[in-house]
Amino acid sequence: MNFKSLSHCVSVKTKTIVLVLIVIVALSVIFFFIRYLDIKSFARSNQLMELKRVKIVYSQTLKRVKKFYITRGYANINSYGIREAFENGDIKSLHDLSLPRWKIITKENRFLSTFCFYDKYGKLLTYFGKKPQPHLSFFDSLKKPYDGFWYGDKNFFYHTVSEVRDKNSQIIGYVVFVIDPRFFLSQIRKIMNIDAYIYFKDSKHKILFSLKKDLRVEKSIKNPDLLNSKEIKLNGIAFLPYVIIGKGVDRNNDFKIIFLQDISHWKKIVDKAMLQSIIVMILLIIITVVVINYGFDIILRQLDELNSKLVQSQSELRELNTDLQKRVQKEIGLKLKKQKEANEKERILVHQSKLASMGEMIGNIAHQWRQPLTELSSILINMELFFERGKLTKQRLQDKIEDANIQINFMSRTIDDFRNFFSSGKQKELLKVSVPFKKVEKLMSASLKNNNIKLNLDIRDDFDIFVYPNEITQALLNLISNAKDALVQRDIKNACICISSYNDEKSHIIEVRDNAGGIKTDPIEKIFEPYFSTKHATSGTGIGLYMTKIIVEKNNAGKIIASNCDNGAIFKIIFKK
Amino acid sequence: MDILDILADKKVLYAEDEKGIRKHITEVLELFFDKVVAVEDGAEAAYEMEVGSYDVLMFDICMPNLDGLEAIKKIRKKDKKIPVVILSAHTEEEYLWKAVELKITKYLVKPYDKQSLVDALKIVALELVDNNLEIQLKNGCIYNPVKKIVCEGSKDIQLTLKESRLLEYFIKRESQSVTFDDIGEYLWDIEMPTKEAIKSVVKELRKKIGKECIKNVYGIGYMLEF
Repeated sequence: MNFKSLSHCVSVKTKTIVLVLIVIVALSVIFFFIRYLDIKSFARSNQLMELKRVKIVYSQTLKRVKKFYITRGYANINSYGIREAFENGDIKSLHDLSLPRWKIITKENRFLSTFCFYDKYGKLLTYFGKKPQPHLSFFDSLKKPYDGFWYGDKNFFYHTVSEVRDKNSQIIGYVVFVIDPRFFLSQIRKIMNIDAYIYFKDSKHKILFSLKKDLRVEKSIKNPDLLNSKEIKLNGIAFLPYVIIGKGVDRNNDFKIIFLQDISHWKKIVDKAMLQSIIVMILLIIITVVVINYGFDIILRQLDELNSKLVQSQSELRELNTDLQKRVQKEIGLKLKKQKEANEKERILVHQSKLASMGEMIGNIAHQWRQPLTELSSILINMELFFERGKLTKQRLQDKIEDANIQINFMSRTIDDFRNFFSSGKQKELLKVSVPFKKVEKLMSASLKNNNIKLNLDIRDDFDIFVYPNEITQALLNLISNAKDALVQRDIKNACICISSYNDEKSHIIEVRDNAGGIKTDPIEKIFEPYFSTKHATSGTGIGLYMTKIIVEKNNAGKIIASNCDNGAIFKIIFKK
Repeated sequence: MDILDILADKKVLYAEDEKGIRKHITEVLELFFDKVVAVEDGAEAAYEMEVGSYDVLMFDICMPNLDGLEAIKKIRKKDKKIPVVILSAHTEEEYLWKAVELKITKYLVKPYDKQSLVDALKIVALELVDNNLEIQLKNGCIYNPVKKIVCEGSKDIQLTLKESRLLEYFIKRESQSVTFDDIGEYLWDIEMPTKEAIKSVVKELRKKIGKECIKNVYGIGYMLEF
């Protein structure tokens, strides 16, 4: 049983560990996923912010550049002799006058490609730097030259146009700055520290501007599938491209500005987070396993201890139990034996008492019969003697037979009385107290008379009692027999037994009183104990009064009290009203 | 010859408290005795012994007032010889011992049969005559108490009741003086007879048994001499 529970526990342990691990892993996965999403969304919002920033930076740079160069253009126009040179078409003075400005400006910006002048028809007058396109190509279509990016003369550059007007505000020429788009890239890089690319593409041309040459980057950027915020990998580094549509002067001149943000940093964060999480998870798992294992071990050990304790206490209990059982059985056996003995004793007592009262009854019968028997014998003697002498007349014979019949009837009645006493009264009955009195008188009269004892009946109140009739008679007989024995033993003159019945406030009382001098026993109650006898061993059984008490108190709800008066004993049987 | 005839001129005092028994036994006793006086208790019996004179007593023991044994005890103080028969249901030793001390003739246990009663009466009868059925008188006469006859040679002389009672009274008290009063009391029941009546009975008896047998004791009475 112990082993079973142990193996059971082990399996429970494994199961528990597995279950807990599954739960932990599941929770961890969910947690990581959430964390990952969190980081991702954080990164994403970051990137969107970046994108927004990039856009702002680009547009402001554009605005600033435009304003700067248009202002420069106008500053050049308004400087001495420039407008006049335009009005006069004096290219040489225009060139000479503008040269110092060019020198300054080109020092400021190495990406400034060209500083050039066009007449009001868009024809190139003079220029500094790279050779520009001979005509402002857009002029015809837009009627007006605009600032911005456009493609012209195999190049895609940014242009600022400052109009030169005469006194009548008539356009007399244009001052144009041509700026390499890489200037913006450098500006963005300067402000944001980010690599950007400008990619122009129309049906015939594909031009990519970048600050440093990198073929793989260029290839990636030229990929038409390049999308905003779709991660690409270059040289093992992850980049996130931002694509802004740059406005050209018209739709044909629209281009793409592409920023590549190095997101390996974010990747690293995510990876780090993942790594951390995994480490945490593994640690957690290890700790859990150890804790559970250890805990289980402790629990198992404690369980084992408990179990062994339990087994021990169980065995102790079992021992105690068997011991107890034995003891209880022994006790029960003893008790049963005692009870049996008591019952046997009681049975013997009852039997003895029956025998005793039977004996007494037989004695009484003998007394009752002796007289009629004697009379019968005297009748027989009488008849025989008279017959012998021939004096037995018919009359005499009839008289004698009649006398004999009377005696025989009397004997018959007597024996009936005794038989009834032994056979009847198996049930409690309500009867007048005078009934057992009369019965007792009948049964005892001969015996008492033989001993010269007078029996007085004094029925002051003939109350009803609910008793076993022959038992109450037996009780009275016992008391009277006792009194008789005392009177005979002490050889009392004018011996007399008086039985009376009367009521007091609370009870019905039957009293048996004699004049035999009283009970000498002290305490007086001792006479009710079994086998207590003051009589000579041959005459007393010592159970008459005990049985009387039993009969009265146990079976017939009365109470028996013994006391002494001046010249004798008084027994009172008391029934509650 | 029936020994019981000795009783025919005798008086018996019978004490028995049971009326029926008393009646039947009295009737029986009357067959044997000249006179039967029946009383119903010991006290009465004792009184009767005071006032009358009896030859035989037949007592029950268990009687009211004074029991038979007590009554006998009282009587024995005056009369040591009178035969007593006890008729009792008691067989207790106590009673028997007492009875023995009172020198009773027979103890009959109730219920008794005819034969034991008759036997008892026979014993009583013999006791009354000291077991002597032929009493030798002074002048060679022989008195037969059974037949109440005096034989003088070949001649039998029948005695009357009074004469035989008187003679047996004298025989029991031989060589004792018997007063006129004793005789009167014994022979007559109720009234004391005159001296002359007594003298006349004595005179008749002297005629039958011889004058010399009964001596005159002057001023007192008579004395039987053998």
